[in-house]
Amino acid sequence: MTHTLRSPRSAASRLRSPQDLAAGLLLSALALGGLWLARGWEAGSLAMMQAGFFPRLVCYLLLAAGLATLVRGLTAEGPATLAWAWRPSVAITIAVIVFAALLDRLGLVLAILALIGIGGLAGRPLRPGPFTALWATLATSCIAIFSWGLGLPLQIWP
Amino acid sequence: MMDVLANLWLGLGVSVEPMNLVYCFLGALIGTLIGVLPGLGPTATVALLLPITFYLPPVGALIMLAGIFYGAQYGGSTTAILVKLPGESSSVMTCLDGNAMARQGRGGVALATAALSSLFAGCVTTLVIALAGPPLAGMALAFGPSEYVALMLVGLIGAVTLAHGSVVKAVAMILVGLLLSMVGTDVNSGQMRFTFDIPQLYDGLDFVPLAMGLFGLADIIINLEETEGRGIDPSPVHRLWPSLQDFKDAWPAAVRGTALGALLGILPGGGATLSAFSSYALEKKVARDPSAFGKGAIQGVAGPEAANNAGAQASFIPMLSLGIPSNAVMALMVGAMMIHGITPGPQIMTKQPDLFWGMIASMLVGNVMLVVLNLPLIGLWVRLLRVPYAYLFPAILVFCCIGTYSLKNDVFDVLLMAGFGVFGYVLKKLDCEPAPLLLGFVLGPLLEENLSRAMLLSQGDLTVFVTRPISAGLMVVAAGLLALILLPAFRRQREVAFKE
Repeated sequence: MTHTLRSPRSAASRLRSPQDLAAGLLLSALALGGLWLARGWEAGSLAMMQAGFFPRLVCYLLLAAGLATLVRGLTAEGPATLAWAWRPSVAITIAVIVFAALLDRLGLVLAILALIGIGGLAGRPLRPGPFTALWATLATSCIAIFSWGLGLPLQIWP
Repeated sequence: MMDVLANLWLGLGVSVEPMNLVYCFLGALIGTLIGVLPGLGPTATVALLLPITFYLPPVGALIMLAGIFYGAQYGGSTTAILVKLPGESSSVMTCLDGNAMARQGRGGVALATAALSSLFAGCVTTLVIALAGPPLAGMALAFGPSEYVALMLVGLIGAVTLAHGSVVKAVAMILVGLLLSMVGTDVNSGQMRFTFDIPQLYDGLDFVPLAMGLFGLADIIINLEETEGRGIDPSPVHRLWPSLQDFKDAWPAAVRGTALGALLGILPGGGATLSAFSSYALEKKVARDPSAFGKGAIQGVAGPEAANNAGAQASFIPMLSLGIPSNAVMALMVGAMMIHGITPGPQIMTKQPDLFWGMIASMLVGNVMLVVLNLPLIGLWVRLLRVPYAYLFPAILVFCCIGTYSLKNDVFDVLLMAGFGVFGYVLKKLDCEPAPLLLGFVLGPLLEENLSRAMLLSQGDLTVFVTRPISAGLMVVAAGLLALILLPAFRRQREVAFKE
């Protein structure tokens, strides 16, 4: 509420709502990207719709929604900052990607180790003792449920 | 009436088959187990547990999924009451008075009230489904493509009305969902759309990595950000059984909540959340002492709990009889049915009566089971609430990864899930709700096909939507909903309702 007290000019020159602005940019970008990818597809007519008709329709509507959000981001007040939790988001994503890379090569047990080892960095990492116990429990229960129970062809050891 | 009873009898026969009883029991148990965990609402729970139903026979899988769903709903109320952490918006109202009761040492009574109100609501609503489903499906058999398009518009606009925050963003989320649903080979022309020459995308995006990423992974990141991995401290539970006075106070609220929930749950876009909000508002209005609300009024637990359960179950009606999911959980159910090769819609009732009625009767069985299961096990759930998140989230992570992998034994799906996890987190940061996206994703192919067919039949004449009576009626409803959103008075009320 502090900047409402300032002069109107400085308030106008500041970003009013970075959240809406970013959302508007993202949505518009998605719409434009979709339109660009769909550029070569035949649209047909209303009576004879082809593969390109529905994507274009949706993208134009999305573009409109994105632009509306963008405009609101520039004119209406909103939350001031965009906080981004780097540690959890990066750790979780890398953990899942590493799991996917290791599963077919080194087997389930080691892939789970990597997954919870890297993923654990997203929060407060566990001490070695509890960590090993958690690893053993998760690996055993996954093998029990998915490999024995559901008969999934999982590679378990390297 | 006799028909309904005969059908329910058939369904009961299916649902008490030993294996189906086991699936129902397991579903309710696991659903509660996962639903109790803080930060995991019914949508996330159902998404997380989808994979374990892939390998069951279709009837068993659906019975189990339905069990998981009410288990999760019930588990969510337990968390809401004991630690004031609603997993999903539908149990926000339970938090207010339920947690106040728990802090006064009446947590057990609040839990029992929630369980009994839910049981009552569940039984009544099951009968409503049995009564309302067939006529609705009969009507739907007369639907042409233009009616379906109109119906889906009503559903999607309804979903927008009920989303939190900005209406424009909710519409945009539906559109993003529609866009994602187009990935793959176009069925009519064979044109590859948005596949980026990746062979795994030729058959389209899979539902499971999408749902797991948006609801599973993104939720983990958000929870870690908000709590920094701290544990939480649940209120202790002493006495369980409500006193006679509690019963007297609670039952009229439960009856009113059930009626509201059954009514609002049928509406497209309606469901548990809307029902719970309305019920709380209604109870506050009819109460002799409205100031007691928020400080542990038992009506404030009984009403919304009955309403959210009734609403959640009533939302099965449009899903089963019309094939149109009205909220994110129903979209998940539709996804699960498709994986089993069942197309939800009016033809299920006539072609697969054992499946339809078996599932409905199993709701009855499941609701009773839930109470029998939960009242003695409350101590266990309380202990589960004490598990630190540092142990919990790696377990959820592992389950997400293997569950997604088990769909096709392809790590590509796991990578896709990682991508959608980040996307879900970005959406959350930008204050966009992922639920409408899921609805759009599920309805996308149906909408495109029916739109193009309707236009083909009418030779490009858009007036077909308003000249055919049923479609015109639905269009009026859609326009009414739209007008409602645009009305300033309604907007203000909506904001107030979501803030409360």
